[in-house]
Amino acid sequence: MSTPSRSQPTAAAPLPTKLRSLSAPALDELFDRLPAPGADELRGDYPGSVLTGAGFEALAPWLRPLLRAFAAWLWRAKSFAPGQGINLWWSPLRPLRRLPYRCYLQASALGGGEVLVLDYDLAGNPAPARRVRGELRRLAPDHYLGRMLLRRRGGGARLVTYFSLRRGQAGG
Amino acid sequence: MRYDFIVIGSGFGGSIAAFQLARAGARVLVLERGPWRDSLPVRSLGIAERAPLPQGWRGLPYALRGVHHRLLPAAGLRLNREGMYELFRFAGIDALCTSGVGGGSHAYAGLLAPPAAAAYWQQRHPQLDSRQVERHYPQVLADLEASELRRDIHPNNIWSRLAALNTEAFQVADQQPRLGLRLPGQVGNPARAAVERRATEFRGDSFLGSPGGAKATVDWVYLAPALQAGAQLRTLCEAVRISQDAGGYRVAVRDLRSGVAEQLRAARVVLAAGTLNSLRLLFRSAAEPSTGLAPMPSLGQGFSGNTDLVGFWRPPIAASSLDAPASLGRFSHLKQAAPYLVLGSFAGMDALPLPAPLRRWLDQRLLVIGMAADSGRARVEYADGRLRLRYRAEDETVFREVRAVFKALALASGSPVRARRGPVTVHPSGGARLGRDASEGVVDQHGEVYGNPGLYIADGSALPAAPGAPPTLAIAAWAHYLSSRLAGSGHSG
Repeated sequence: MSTPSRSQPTAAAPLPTKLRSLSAPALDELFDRLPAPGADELRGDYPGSVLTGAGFEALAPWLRPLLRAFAAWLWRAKSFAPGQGINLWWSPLRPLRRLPYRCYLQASALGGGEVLVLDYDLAGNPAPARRVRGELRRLAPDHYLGRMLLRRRGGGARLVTYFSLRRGQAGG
Repeated sequence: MRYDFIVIGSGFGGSIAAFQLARAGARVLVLERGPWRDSLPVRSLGIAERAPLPQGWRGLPYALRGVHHRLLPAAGLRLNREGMYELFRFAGIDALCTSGVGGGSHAYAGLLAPPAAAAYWQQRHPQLDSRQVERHYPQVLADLEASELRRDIHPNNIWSRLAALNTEAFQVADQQPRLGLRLPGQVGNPARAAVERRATEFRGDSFLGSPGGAKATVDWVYLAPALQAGAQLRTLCEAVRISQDAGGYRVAVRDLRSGVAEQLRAARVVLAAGTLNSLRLLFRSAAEPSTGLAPMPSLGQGFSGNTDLVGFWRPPIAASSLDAPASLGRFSHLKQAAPYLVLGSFAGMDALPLPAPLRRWLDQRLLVIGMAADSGRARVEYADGRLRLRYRAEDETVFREVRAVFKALALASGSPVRARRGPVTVHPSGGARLGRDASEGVVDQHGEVYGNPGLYIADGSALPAAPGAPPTLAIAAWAHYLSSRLAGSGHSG
């Protein structure tokens, strides 16, 4: 599928009001239709929501909201600065800033054009996290759809989860 | 469309039956409530939709499909429809079952042994000569490319472990099980050149699956060839009910992806969903008069857990599981011949993301498993939509015998063998067992359900008694025997 360039409108089709109701294949399709944001477009804090992931639909229906709620409690947001960013995690006083990443534009590891890459392969990150690669595209102004991939040791990457980021309020 | 056969379940019983029937030209549909499991052989066959084996962080959510307990809803508590194990907690016994294409073959330790008792098959039916079933053992062993458990396969073998005890109370058994495991240097079957498979590295290839395909699993050994021969397979499709239907059967199914219910028709049905799930399906179907199934008065009788007492033993030698085959082999106690004793290691448990202290604890221990034929007095019942079972291990002589052997091992080694109080069986059998008539059994000498012609049972629930040994070979041979006859009988129903 062709990918829109960054100069195109943000989404070619109406955006779903509830991203959480979409399955992983539906999110794949949506992600493919979205444009990449500018390299330095995101600035400041963007609260996030975990949407769905590999195998998520196989889990019992009662378990999914519990896992989402746990993820939402644990992982709060991503914070961006030019060329870099960091994750914000729950802590009793104020969000803990852990797991930084570099940001740059590059072709998606799963094919389908350019994305904003969140690259966790930094010296200070723990070894398992260094295999993580985030990819981000713009859903609407200040609203982004992302996916977390895990680099395979033999090359390539596989999807772990989709997430959304929205400035100023919880996404999804 | 009306099939010649609907095969319910794709473990040893179902896959072997499907293979034999499809190869004979029958129109076969296999129903499997779980997914394909991700392994090298399955990938090499081009099967795209696969769920991980329960190994590593990624596989952890796939370890448990659900839990059944009397305090939970009748359908149990489902965690992941693609999970591998299903835990049934009954009074006095717990049972672990598997789901997924290939069923229990992903969970077995690769041990292939005939039942412990001589004349095992004919003990409950005078018209069945044990040799009729036993002659299928060699074919099954050949299909699984079974290897010999030899002294030289690994330095940490059963011979070296027991020699370190320096006691004559225990000895390596003369009759070792065969291994459904490709050993280093073993040449594979050239007819399966398209199936990629690695030799074992003596880590894993046991109850958490075999990602490299060193362990022979029936998904690629039998089911894939069955599909090539024209059989169809529906994964994540659960059989809910079996009904009589104009000279054949109707199977009500539910697609677990979409939730859509459907009725499928076949001239004959081969039930091989695994002991507990086959029993549940039979009970549920028989409980509804509208299904038209003839009563099965012996249904539920003769349930066995094969004893399956598991002990954790810290041997008086370094037992690093990181360097040992998962199944070290069979040994015996000079004074107690009854239990079928197997020594295994936890090699491959590091495939699970366990906390370091627990991993260290496991690394220092070996697993002693005592199997024996219990009395078969336990009876499974069905009420309020759920299976019920009260198992009294304390009334079974064999449990005392196994515990006595564990104690003797502890004395000989100076190190305790810690066993759980109640059994956790991974080998439930019986409940729809072979018998000479409907008052003594559920199936006849051909595996056909009394009063319900065209309905066959090809899994452990039909076994005449507990094998008192790893039951895989018995179940596989029973399915091979039963389906060989069906394959030669024409398919018009």
